[in-house]
Amino acid sequence: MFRTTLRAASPIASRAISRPLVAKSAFIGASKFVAPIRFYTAAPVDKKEITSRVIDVIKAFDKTAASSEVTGQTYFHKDLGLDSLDTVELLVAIEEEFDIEIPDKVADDLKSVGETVDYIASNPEAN
Amino acid sequence: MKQAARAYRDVIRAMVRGDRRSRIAQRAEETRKQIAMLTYKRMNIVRQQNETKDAMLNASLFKDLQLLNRQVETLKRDRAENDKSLLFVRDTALIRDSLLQERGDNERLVQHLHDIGSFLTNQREYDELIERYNGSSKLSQEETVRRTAGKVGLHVPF
Repeated sequence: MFRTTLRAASPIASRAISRPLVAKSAFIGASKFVAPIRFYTAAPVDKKEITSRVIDVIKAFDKTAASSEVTGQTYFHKDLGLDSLDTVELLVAIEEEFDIEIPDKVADDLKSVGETVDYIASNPEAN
Repeated sequence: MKQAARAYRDVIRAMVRGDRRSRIAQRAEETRKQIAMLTYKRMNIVRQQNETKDAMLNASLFKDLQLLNRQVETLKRDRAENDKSLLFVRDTALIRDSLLQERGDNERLVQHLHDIGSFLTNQREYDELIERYNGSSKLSQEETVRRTAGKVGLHVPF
């Protein structure tokens, strides 16, 4: 019983194999005209935008001393008057803003806005 | 000191993450209520406008209406996700002071803070999973009724 079905199925199978070849070549021809666009990576955030967003976060922090003038060279401790625990709070806020997690070892060494921006720019997960 | 700062970071991170979503939701709800209130006021003004024949009163009502429209517009444009103040814990004085007071031997406190941090993180994850696996728990009553009706091929009249 099975043998008959197999015999009946075989011509259909051979036809089925030949068909996709045609379809495939047609597809290749079509793809020459349509430039494929890749959607699977988000555009990396550029440094200027990172800086402005970091500065926005710093300005929203109510413990900063001189919030009027924040640039890339601003140091958290020296210029903003933040102690180590305040810096921790600020860095967590920045983490949350960019949806990343800064490991402890790196976060201990981040002391200025510029360093933070550099780290975020080097992190591929930041957005 | 480094250890203390790390423990502090754990706690703050857990608190911010746990807090932010609910605060955003809360803000959205408040905005919705305010918009409803303003819409109600607007309806009242329009009703008054239709009833009066007085030109002076009509003009002042028109001004009020424009003001209300502007308020609604600003409320609609307000995005809680962009509010940077939600990235900070509102009051950290309690944890800070307890960390700063204990000089020298604060190992126990540091361990305690680490524990609090991981407890908060795990609790948040647990809640998120519960929510995800019970998709209908967050639906409003109207939505539940609508879907129940839809399941048997009916439409809820509006």
